Amino acid sequence: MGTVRNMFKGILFTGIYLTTTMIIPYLTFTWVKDLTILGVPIVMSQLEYETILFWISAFGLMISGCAFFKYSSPKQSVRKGIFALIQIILNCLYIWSYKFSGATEVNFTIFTIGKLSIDFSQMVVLYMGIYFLTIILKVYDLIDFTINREKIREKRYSKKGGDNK
Amino acid sequence: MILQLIDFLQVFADIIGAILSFLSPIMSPIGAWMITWIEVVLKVFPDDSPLLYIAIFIILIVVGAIVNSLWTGDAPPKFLTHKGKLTTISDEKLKEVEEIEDLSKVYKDDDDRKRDSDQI
Repeated sequence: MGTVRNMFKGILFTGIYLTTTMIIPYLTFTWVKDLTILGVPIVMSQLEYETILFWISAFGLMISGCAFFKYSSPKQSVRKGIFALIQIILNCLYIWSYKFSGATEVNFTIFTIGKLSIDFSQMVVLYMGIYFLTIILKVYDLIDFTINREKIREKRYSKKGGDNK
Repeated sequence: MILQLIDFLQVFADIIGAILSFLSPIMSPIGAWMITWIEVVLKVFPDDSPLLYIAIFIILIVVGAIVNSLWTGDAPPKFLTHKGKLTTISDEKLKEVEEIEDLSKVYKDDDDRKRDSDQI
């Protein structure tokens, strides 16, 4: 029963992460490539879309793999803590890879009006600061799971069958 | 409808702007430090072939499935339930098991004695 539940949770969250980190960004970037608003064609002059899509796929896959391991692991287990931490770090890399590939400085060319440039890098820096706090929280969780491993195990086993037979 | 949407977007942008400007002095320096190490790490990741990332994904899924099927977390792993390795569960439980074993020995001895006396 435990195996089925673990696998179901793992597959479910892998699907969610694949959708949010790969499929939606991929479709968005593909859609934004040739966007027309109120009849005015907006052509993004960003030349590195292939690079953006590459990093989205690369980190999206690794994040989803970690999500599978994390969500299929037992509650409050050390392995869950480790993979939660890895996943957060990969998330940071994933978000910054947008900047790395040039996606945080998007240049639009509106034919009848002129050029428009949007710089998201300051916002990403701020977001990274918030992510740092999340990393601290995950490290704390991992230490907690490691120190209280015996108690957590006993609690988990007693919930299931009452005895360790 | 479009005008109402613009108003809503303006309010939304104001709220987000207020939150960001409040957090910015604390979070931006930390974020800048984060970016320095992230940039170093990103240089290590190969950017020529997605095969490595696909392989990592498959390995994580396979290993995760095996590990979490064998050790589901709702029962102690089989290798820990052997008598010799029972100490990993808890001292209290171990004592209980030892008491039960001692009692069963006593009963067995009694049974043997009875059998011997009957034979005599």
